[in-house]
Parts: sequence; structure tokens; C-alpha cells
Amino acid sequence: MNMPSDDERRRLLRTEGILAGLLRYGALGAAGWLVVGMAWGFWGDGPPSAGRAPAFSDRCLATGIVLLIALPVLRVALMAIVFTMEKDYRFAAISGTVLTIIAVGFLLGAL
Amino acid sequence: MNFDGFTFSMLVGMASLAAGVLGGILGMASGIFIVPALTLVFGVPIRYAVGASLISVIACSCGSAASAMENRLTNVRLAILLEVGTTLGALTGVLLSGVISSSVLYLLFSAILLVSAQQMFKKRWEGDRGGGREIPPDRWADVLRLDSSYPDPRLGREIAYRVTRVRLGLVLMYFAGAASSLLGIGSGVLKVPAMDSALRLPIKVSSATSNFMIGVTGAASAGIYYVRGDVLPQIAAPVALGSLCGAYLGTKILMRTSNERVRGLFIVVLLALAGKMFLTAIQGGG
Repeated sequence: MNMPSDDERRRLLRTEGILAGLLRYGALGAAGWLVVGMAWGFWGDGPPSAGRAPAFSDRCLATGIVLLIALPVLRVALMAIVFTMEKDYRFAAISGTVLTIIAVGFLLGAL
Repeated sequence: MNFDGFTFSMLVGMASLAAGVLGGILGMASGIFIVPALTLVFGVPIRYAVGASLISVIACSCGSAASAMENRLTNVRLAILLEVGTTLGALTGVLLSGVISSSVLYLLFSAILLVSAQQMFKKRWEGDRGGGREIPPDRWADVLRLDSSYPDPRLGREIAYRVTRVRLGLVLMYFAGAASSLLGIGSGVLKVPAMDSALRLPIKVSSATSNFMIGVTGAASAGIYYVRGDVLPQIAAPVALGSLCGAYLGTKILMRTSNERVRGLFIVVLLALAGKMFLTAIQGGG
């Protein structure tokens, strides 16, 4: 069989553990932004100011949402770096491909 | 319906909580319950419903990111490779969602609900055909060193497995990714059987690897929806928060209920939703 060596797997697993923690706490942080944004939207915002900067509540909500979208992408990016550091260039390239596809998608959506 | 109101947010939040609990008990992302709830009950246009649901899929996926135990079950290398397929599919799905009519989306959704009900029925979660199956060598698996092993706590040792038919897996992941971005679901219901039957992975590995991938596919799709303006914060926020809490509660409840009754209940719910979505499709979409 062709398995990665035990050492490699252990290192990958430890990195994975750290990345999983990043995702969990990141999700909590994003949830926090969402809660603040919602609460502020109900009780904090002043009257709508036509044509000026977006309300604080909207900015909080946007931060939370963007953070949520960014987290899994960040995970893939970090994995790409880990693979590169482990000199596993194939998988670094594969991770890079995933990131590129995602980026292309975002760009296409903005068109 | 006023999407900005406090009442709306609270109601949506509670509905998402319920959906999250269902999803948490089932071990799947709650998107499959959220989109029907948003569209059928709250009258949200399906594109905004999908956008909001995708955000909650990411939230739940990140929130339940693998524990140390699961880390050994997830085949990370395989997951990243398959993500090439899912993200390409997600891209296609989002591009298509602009041209596909709502009616077709509702039809697709009801089909997925039927498939989910069928999966529950066949008790996929318990069966493990990994043991005696013929596993032909696969060039990609060899070159990329995808074969791996996982610890079995009952037997107290590592069980090695091989991966096969990687290219077929990629194609299936492509469709799973497209379904995910079109319908706002996690697509675990498509990914796990694909990995189980096409790639011949042990079922526990399939589930763990699928969970790993769901967040990335969700992010790829959600990002595009967001950039297009199809994610309305006033809907997405309560949905994400509600389903996060619900998923957390769901996993707690899971410990206490009997599997058979839970499964039966869900088959009924899924079938009911499938029927309702189908009717909506026929009546001309939302």
C-alpha cells in the first residue's frame, strides 16, 4: 500500500487539530459578531441615515458573515502552507487548485 | 413579509433552531430542513433562502470541526483532493442557479429529500461493507498516497484501508458540490454514499471525511452568493445563529433517544417536505 509515513501522519494530525480549533473558535467569534449585529440592529441603531455610511449593525453582521465564509477557505490555505513545508508539493498544488477555483468563483460572482 | 422585523428574526431563529436540532440528531447539516422552512413557511425567495442556508451550513460545519478522535478518521489528503471536485461543482451550481427556474430548484430539492429519506431507510449509518469487498488498486490513490488507516476503538487497533476509483469519486463530488450550491445543503447525503460505494471507504471514514469537506464546499458557494448580493444578513444571521444552537442541542439530545424511533420520525419529516416541495414546484415555484 502507499500510505504516508507515520511521522507525516502524526504531523498532519497535529496540524489538523490546531486547524479544527481555529474553525471552532472562529465560528464562535463570527457568531458573536452576528449576535452584536442583530442586537444593535434592533435596539442600537439610530434612525436610518439616507445615503450615508452603512449602519453599525449592518457592518457587524457583514463581519460575521464574511468571517464564516473565510474560515474554511483559510483552512485550505493553511493546509497548502503545511503541505509546502512538508515538501509535499503535489498536495500543495492540489490545495492551491482548490483555492484558485474558489477565488475564480468569487470573481465570477462579482461580475 | 417584513424581513427586517424583530418578529421575523425571532421566528426564523426558532425555526432554524428546530432545523439545527434535527440536523444535530441526524448528524447532518441542517440546510435540508432550513431551505424548505424558509421558502414554504416564511415565503423567502429561494435564492435568498439558499444563500442564508449556506451560511448556516458553514457555521454548523465549523462549529463542529473534528474532535481529536475524528481527526484520525478523516482522510485529509483525500478530502482536499475531492474538494477540487466539489468546488468545481459548486461553481457550476451557482452559475446555473442564475438560469434555472425556481420550479426546477424545488423539484431538485424534493428529489434530494427523497434520496435522504431512502438513505435513512437503508440505515446507511450503521452498515459497514468495508470488510470483504474487492478493492482494485487505483493509480491515483497510489501516486497520491491516499490509502490510510483509522483506529477502531472496539478492536483496539488501526484498521488499514485502501482507496479506489478516485476519478469516479471526483465526478460524483462534482455533482454533490453542484447540488450543494444550488440547493443550499451540505450534501453529506450525497457525499457519504459516494465515498462508501464508489471509493469503497469504511463508512466511518466516509462520514468524517464528508463532514470535513462540507465547510469548504459551503464556503465556496456562499462566497459567490454573498458577492452577488444573495445573502441577506437579516435572514442569514438568525438562521446561522439558530442552527448553531440547534445543532449543539441536537447532539446532546442524540444521546438519549432511541435510534429506531428517531429514524422513523425523520423519514416521515423528509417525505412530508419532499411532497410539499414537489407541490410547490408543480404550482409554479416560489
